[in-house]
Amino acid sequence: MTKSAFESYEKVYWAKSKPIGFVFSFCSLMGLAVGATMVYQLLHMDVTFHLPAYALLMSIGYQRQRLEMIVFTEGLILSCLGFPLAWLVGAFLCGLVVSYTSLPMILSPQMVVTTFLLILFMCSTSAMLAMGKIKDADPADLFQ
Amino acid sequence: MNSVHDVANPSVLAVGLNHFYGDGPERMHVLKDICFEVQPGEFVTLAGPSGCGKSTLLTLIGGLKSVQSGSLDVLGCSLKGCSPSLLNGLRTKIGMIFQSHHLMEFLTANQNVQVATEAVIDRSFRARELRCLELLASVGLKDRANHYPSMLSGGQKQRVAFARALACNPQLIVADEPTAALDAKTGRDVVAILRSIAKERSISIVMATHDPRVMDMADRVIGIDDGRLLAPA
Repeated sequence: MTKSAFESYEKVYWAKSKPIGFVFSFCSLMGLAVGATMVYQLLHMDVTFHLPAYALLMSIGYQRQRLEMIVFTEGLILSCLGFPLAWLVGAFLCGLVVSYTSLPMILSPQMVVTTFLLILFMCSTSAMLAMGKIKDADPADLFQ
Repeated sequence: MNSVHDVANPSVLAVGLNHFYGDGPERMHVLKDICFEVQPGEFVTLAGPSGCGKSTLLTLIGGLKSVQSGSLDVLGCSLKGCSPSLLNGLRTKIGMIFQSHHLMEFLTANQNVQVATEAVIDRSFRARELRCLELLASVGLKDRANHYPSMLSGGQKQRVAFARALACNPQLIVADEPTAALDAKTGRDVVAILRSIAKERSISIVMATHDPRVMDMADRVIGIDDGRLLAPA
């Protein structure tokens, strides 16, 4: 058995045959779901708070798609602003685990890029769900 | 009456207009067989008590609700069965002024006006900024262009709202009780500014109000009560 084949065997063994592998994967998925929910809540609240402003923009001729793009852009900005901080905290925690347990944990560039893409996916999905709230903005309500 | 009136092409023409809220036994008939017209450059006031249907009529004229029964032509566009994209296009030709100014608190007066130009005017940022400054100057607020709404008085905020309504070069202005939150003098002052700008640019105005202090400033007063237009006295 070559060294790389042994490494692959070990990874599969720990990821699929041991409970720790399942727990780790489950926690990652939970993190993604909780993150998506939080971003959705944040954007939903933001849209709700600004509904009169969206209604006003619709009354002066802004198309609904343009307003939806504003929410989508907010989601992308959130992901871009949140990622550097998450990366720093992740790298710090990773270093902490390495120093306490001597486990060979490496935050590779590939993992960093994958994580960023997952965050982008998470935030854009949440933003698309939050966009639905814009339909509640009725410019006729401004004539009250 | 204004000399620029074009009787053949009124800005607003309503014939047999009816509107209802709700369904079934709770259905309310809020506008009943409304027939009237507004000529280009004309300043018309809709006068009547609260709840008589003034605001509903304005929302129909502004293309914010669909026409259910009867016909309504606004700026040459028939609103009966009009598609959402056409309604959206029509709204870029109509300036709207509300009872509350609805300014965005996080934007300066100039930025609040610019928001309205972004939807319709294909110009550079600088050109739009200069146009908005001109509009603010026309309502007497040039020196307040960089003030936030929280730094402006009620009358000044309403004047910014007027400038915002004028920003898209409208052919029609729809105003819903714009003086309701203002004292008598400020109310007359802001309506006088709006009137003079509208006359200068041949913009029609339809203003709903039950404020007797500003009614005499209109070319024509149309009474409305319980959803019906009253015959002229």
